[in-house]
Amino acid sequence: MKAIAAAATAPLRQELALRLQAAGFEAAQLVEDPQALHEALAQEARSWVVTAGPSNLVRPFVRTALQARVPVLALIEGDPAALRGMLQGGAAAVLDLRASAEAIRASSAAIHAGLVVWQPSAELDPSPGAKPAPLSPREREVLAGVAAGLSNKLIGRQLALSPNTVKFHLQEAFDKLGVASRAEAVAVAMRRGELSI
Amino acid sequence: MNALQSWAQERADLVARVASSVVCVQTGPGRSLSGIVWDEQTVVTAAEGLSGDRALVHTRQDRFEAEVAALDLTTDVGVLRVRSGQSAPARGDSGSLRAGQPVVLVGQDAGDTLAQWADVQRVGPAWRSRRGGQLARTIRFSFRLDAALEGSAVFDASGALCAMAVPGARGRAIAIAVETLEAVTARVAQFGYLPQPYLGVRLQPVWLDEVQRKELERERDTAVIVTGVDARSPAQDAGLAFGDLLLSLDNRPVYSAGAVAREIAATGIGAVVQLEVRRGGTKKGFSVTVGERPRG
Repeated sequence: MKAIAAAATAPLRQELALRLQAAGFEAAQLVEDPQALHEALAQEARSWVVTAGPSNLVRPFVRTALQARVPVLALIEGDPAALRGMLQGGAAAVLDLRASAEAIRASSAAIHAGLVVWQPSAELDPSPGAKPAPLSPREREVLAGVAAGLSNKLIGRQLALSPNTVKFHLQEAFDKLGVASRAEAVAVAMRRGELSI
Repeated sequence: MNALQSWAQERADLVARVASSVVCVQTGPGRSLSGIVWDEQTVVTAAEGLSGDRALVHTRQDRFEAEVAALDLTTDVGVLRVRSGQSAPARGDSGSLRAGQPVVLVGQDAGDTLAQWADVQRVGPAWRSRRGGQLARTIRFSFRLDAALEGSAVFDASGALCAMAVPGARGRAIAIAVETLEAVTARVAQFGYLPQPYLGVRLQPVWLDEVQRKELERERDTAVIVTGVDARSPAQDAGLAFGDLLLSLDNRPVYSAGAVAREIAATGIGAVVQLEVRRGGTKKGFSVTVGERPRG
């Protein structure tokens, strides 16, 4: 299994390569954006993904790996709460950026066995969904459009946003709600009082 | 050819005959499910499988951009607008299905036909989904549904379309009766979209302590509170207000926001529901006419 190291900035990629080496893995490829990761995964039949950085930068890589059904290990700088909703239905490990080489090796074995790893740490609450992040006003507006059965294009027209921006807000909302479909997003948001019934 | 050989051949022949009426619905890189050609401009698939508002529909020869015309959140039926150039399968009657009857699930993945013969494990009457959808018939199987067969067509031994396979609780395969698919697609054809029932209230759960629970004569220690009322909504017209503690809906006690969402989803637009709330220490009743969720 070849490791593909994905990180948004050069210093993070360098850090990642070093951390991997220390844990006894070799990065077969370094990629800098989710599209490149997607292409690398399409080429490498048997691979796994390692990524590092703050949650917001790591999230697109984790999403790409999970969509491709490939194990992913994320070394997180700061609060990993934003990743919490994403881990359903995938083999993923979320560790602190300072995790030991041993922890990285153990997590690698776990995710290759299809498990989810969440590193316990004082400032983290490991129970998923215990503190759901509230949606932003923009995310709520976009979700209301989805609930009414509008396409991203129509939602964008009403809110004066491009369809891609709508898609971005919606993906953020999906992550916060821990869902993967428009239908599920509407149901969960209603249940949580984020969307009117 | 012996009986076993001809039996095997007939099974494969039937699949080959209906295969052109199912498509592969690609929703993202490496993610796809199956869909059923409904008419010359419509494909039906599983709403739960659709993450975006567009998809690529693959027939065995070609691929087409499809637009999501409607997602029925309550029945898991998604309607795609696409001219696939394929012909729809002959429609049967889910009422003819019986427990133990062999049927075949037919889907498509990356140009390959997928087929799985299975015995119907259970057939039952109409039921209401956990989202409040009215399903015309209970049809269940005993296995977990393969992801690529989500949205696949369920054919009986004559090759007539009886249902669409979707994952039910814990991923177990269930099927949505062809009559339900007909009801949803007919509404979409009528309006161009699927009108959604709507009250215009945001609700959040609250926990009652033992004293409150007894005082309010509640069986359980949860209730929901109104945390928002949309402007120009049926709830506002009826007089509901921020802070109202919602006690019952049509005289049935309310314990969660999800339950209200389910009830309203199952209620038709134009129907009148009775809401009982507690406001400032007194109980008040409101009649609310369920409206249509505004589209902008």
